[in-house]
Amino acid sequence: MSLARELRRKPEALAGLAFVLPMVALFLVVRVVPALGALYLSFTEYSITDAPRWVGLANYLRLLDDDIFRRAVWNTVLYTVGTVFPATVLALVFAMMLDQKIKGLAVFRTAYYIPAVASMVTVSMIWLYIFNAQFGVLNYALSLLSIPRQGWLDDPALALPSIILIGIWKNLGYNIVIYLAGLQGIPAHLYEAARVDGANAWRRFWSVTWPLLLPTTLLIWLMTGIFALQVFDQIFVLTAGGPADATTSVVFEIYRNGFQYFKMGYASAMAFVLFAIILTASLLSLRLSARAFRY
Amino acid sequence: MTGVTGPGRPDILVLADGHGQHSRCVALRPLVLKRIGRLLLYVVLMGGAVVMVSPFMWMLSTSVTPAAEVFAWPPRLIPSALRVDNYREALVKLDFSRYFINSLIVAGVSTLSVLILDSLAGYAFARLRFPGRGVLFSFILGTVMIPVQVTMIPLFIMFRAVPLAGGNDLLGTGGTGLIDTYSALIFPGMATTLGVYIMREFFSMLPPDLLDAARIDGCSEFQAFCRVYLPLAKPALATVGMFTFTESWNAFLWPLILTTKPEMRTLQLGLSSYKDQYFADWHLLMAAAVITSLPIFLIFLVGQRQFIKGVALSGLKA
Repeated sequence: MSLARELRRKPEALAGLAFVLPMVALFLVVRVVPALGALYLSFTEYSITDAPRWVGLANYLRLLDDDIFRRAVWNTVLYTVGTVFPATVLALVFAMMLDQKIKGLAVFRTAYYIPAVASMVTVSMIWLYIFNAQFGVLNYALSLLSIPRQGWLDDPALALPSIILIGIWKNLGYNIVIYLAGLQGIPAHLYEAARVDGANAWRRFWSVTWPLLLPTTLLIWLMTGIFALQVFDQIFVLTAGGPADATTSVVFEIYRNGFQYFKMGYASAMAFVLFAIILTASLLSLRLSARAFRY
Repeated sequence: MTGVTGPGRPDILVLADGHGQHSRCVALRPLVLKRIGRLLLYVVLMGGAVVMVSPFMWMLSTSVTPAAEVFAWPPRLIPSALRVDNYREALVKLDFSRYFINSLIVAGVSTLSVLILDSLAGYAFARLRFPGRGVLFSFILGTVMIPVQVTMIPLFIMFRAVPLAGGNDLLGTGGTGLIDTYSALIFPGMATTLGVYIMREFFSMLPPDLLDAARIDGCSEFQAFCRVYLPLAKPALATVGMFTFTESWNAFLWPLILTTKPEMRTLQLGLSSYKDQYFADWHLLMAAAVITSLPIFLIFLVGQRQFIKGVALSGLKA
């Protein structure tokens, strides 16, 4: 009896393994092996023409003294914080407005989501034109208010904020969609109960909406935060890290060191620093959400 | 406070004190306020929508603007003449037809492969019992933690050193390996974690009796998957397909590293590389930008219900 069952189950076990095998093999080859390779490379000096030379921790120690890399880490953190938080607040406001009986909800949602599906390169090209110091439409709008032209991407003080602005604009739609799903999951009777207890709109927000949306908020922070820490495409297209390294990012430095200067060992060490930053941020936000789910 | 005017409605209280016509004011004032509030709501929502969409309007209008008007001051949203020829020039002179085909091949094959591998694995994780199922699924999910920036340098080195490819000898040296090939552009994206996750969720929701019935009917495991379960998974396949195609189409860093020859560029790469070369030709660059984003916008507009539902359900960024 049990043997018969075992035999009947054998094709199932075989099929299961066979079905997942291609994917597991692929991930081993394109994710695990390269990650281990990068770890090894980060302890070497490697310029692709000669064999890797073991240098121990030298790359990591050099990173500590690398002013440009420090600048890149700082810019990346600024970009992440500067996009994630405003995009969350704005998205929550718009999602709450959309969560009422709105005519044309689908049209609004589409309009808000369009920047999120367009590629970062396309979007950057468009903003390059809008931000243009001489003839850009943004400076034209300012001129109507008698404000002088700004070098949005040429001025070291303005370049990073300009890129952050694009980041907020691009993230908004995604955040709104996630928040809308979250808002629709809040049972209506909770609001009614709060109303019966005499809570005004402000109180209802802080005692019902906000705490119940906390897991949603943390999910948004996690997803858009990880994404923001990897900022690259728009920097490559808009400023190439300039002016005077004002907009360089960690991934931009990895690219520059790895594929322009061919310091692949050094670039791999940078990649592991990024890995550590992302891992820390993710664990932190997962920790927070574990706490938030206790509501 | 009286019984009628609850603490949640202070506006009514004030009015009732100041006027003689209680009933009219109580009924009218909140209604007017509500109307104004609604109007304001629509104005803000419209304003937001305009801000979100207007950059694309600029792209569209510049793409049909005559060259002379690109630097016009004040900038004009509606060009004096419609110059559709910009598109022909972008496709021919800037070689965007070639880039379009490259992107189509890379995104198309990646998507096809993801649909096959991810649905197979997702189905097995959801419906079949086999040794190591839990461990392997954790492994697949766990690899998301590794950022692409960590793996891209070794991957580049690996592809460059593939033996007997691109002029390489048996030891993988001397040539360029798989650099500048479709295979290398496609290979790392042939399966995705997000796809497996979505497919597994979907297959877990389908009734398990179907599998038993199929087995009793003499179907092999593969036939049960292909003929019974896969046809039911169309919505999930559509979601995964749209996500994968969009991501592959929009990818930039990997093609940037992996291509050196202009004829192997994808659209995103072509667009960014012409930025310096054709700096003054914004009418052509914007026509190229429209060509680059058109397929993605079409997919989104046609499948947006499925698309947005997928984003909301998985909570994952496409």
